[in-house]
Order: sequence, then C-alpha cells, then structure tokens
Amino acid sequence: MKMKSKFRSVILYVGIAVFAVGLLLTFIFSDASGTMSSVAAVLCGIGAGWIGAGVAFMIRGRRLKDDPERAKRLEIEEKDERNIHIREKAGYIMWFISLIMIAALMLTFRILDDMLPFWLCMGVFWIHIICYFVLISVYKKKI
Amino acid sequence: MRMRNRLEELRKQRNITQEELAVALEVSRQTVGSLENGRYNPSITLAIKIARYFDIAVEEMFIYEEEK
Repeated sequence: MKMKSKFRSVILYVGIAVFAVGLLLTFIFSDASGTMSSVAAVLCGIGAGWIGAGVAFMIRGRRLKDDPERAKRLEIEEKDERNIHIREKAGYIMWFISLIMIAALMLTFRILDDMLPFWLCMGVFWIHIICYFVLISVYKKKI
Repeated sequence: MRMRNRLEELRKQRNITQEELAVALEVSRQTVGSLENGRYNPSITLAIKIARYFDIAVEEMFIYEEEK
C-alpha cells in the first residue's frame, strides 16, 4: 500500500517536472517553429496527462482511506488470480495485435515512400520482437 | 483432460452465497461463479484454500477425469 502511494506521488511529480520543462521550452523557443515548438507542446501535453492521472490517483486513494470496506474489495479484485490470468492473457494477445499494427504501419509508409517513419517502424518492430524473447528467457530462469 | 468440481454442490449444502464464499476465500464473486461453471481451474493455492474451507481433501473437491 505504501509502495502504491509512493507510485501515485511519483506520477504526479514526474508530470509536474515534464510539464515545467515543456513550459520552459515554450518560453525559450517562443519564436521558433517546427521541431522544438512541437517537442515543447508534446511535453506539456504528456506532463498535463500525468498530472491529471496523479491527482486522480491521489483523490481515489484518499477516498478509499475513508472507505476500508471498498478498499478491501478493490484489493481483492486486483489480486484475484482469475483477474490476473485474464490480464495476462489479454496482454499476450495484445502483443500480437501491436505487432500486426506496427507491420501495417510499416507497409503503409513503404507504399507512401516515406522512408524515415518506415525505418522507425522497422526498428520498433524488431525491438518489440526482441523484447518478447528477452522476457521469455528472463522468465525461464525465474520460473 | 477434464476437471470437475463439487464447489456449487457443497456451497449450496451449507447455504452459503457466492458472495460469502468469495469473501471467505478472498477472491472475487465472479471467480467463484467461473469455478462453479468449470470455466476456470484454480491454482493449487486456491484449490487448497477451498478444500480447507469445506474441510475436505482437495481430491474430493476437484475431480480429475482423463479423456478416453
């Protein structure tokens, strides 16, 4: 439970930091157009998202503190072995779906003759596959 | 292979609701439902917990049937 509340705080603080960096970049490159202004906007967006998630987690945590019965029920739902099995199965299927989606993107960029995104997708495609086999080897040793 | 269990039968014998059993076993009510329907086979830990709750042997609660 302590770990979770720490995790919630980390989300919020990382969000604030990312948002602040984005805001700083917006002021520094206020006249710039193109990559830097896009990076600043993306950072502000990501930071705001994380702040929102962090605040939502904190509010939820405070509410659950006042309602121990509901907190217990939620904890059971989270640790329930069938729910864990369902999540793992969904994640495994999602791995294949992601792979197909990346491959489809790669093909689209190749047809459009847009080579930079094509090579980026190619990189992500192989990292995706390599990560899978690395994790299999890690878990073979662990389990 | 097929795994059958007597969970529903024993639960009803003792007049316990799925919700009450779920609370006692610290699992969700849906898990109890899935176990009773045979849609989900429990881990060894949960199987032992269930058997202990009903005070019977695991093999009496979970019946393993090999396909012919």
